Amino acid sequence: MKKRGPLTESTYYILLALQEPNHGYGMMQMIEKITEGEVEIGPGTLYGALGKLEKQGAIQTATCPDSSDERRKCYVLTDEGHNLLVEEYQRMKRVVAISSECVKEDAK
Amino acid sequence: MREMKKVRRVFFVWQEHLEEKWLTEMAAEGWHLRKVGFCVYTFEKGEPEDITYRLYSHVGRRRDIETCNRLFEDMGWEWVGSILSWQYFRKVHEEGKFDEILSDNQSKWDALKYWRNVSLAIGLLNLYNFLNISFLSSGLASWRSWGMDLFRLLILAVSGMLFFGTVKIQKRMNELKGLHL
Repeated sequence: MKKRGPLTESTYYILLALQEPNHGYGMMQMIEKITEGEVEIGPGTLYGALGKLEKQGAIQTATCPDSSDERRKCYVLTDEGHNLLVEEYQRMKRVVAISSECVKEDAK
Repeated sequence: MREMKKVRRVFFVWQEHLEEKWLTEMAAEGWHLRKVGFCVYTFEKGEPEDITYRLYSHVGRRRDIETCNRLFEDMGWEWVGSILSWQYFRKVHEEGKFDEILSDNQSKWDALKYWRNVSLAIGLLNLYNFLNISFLSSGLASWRSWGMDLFRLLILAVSGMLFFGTVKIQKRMNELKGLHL
């Protein structure tokens, strides 16, 4: 997989939600829950991102425990996708570590 | 049987927001979209409602459309119809509720890029055809008639329109890029 810049927020949360097999609807519910409704991803954005991630080899189709409807496509991270998630997490941690030393939160 | 009406209206690819707005206005007057055709919209008379319409262009294999539509359905969007790769979805508008189908600039940019490329490619193809039948192909270029000249003009006009569209779409892409800064 080619080296890429920072992931978009939507892409990051999608990867986060795909550590276990999940379908689009399940991903949305999970993202809404863990971000307490702060992050909302539109269906078009989600569908497009899933297609892109599958093409790049970051996710692959899988079988979901509650896959009653075959029109609901289920995905899970590949090893590459997992690396991508961890790399991005570490990058953001570095950004936070750097920022915590120099961002002045109380504006004068 | 409820009252139905067909309305002819032309929208260009870069006018999808105008089209969405128009459909919402129709729904506010009680005319609900039931079927989409090529520049023809079939409406059914009902109660006036506040409906949000969204157009989504499905890029990719046709057999994946079902998966795509299921995802939209799961997220509260009702599929109304489709024309070519455009899928029409509707949802009852609720104040303060999120009702975008493309929620970040990257996905908006990707969608625009696809249509810019399509528009540019068909535009160039048309321009080539125009040059071919007007200058390049000795057989066709020497074909002089009133009908043939009209045909040449038509091809040139279509290609001009597509280039106009390409520029329109590119402008919106540039605006989005600007928002990233």
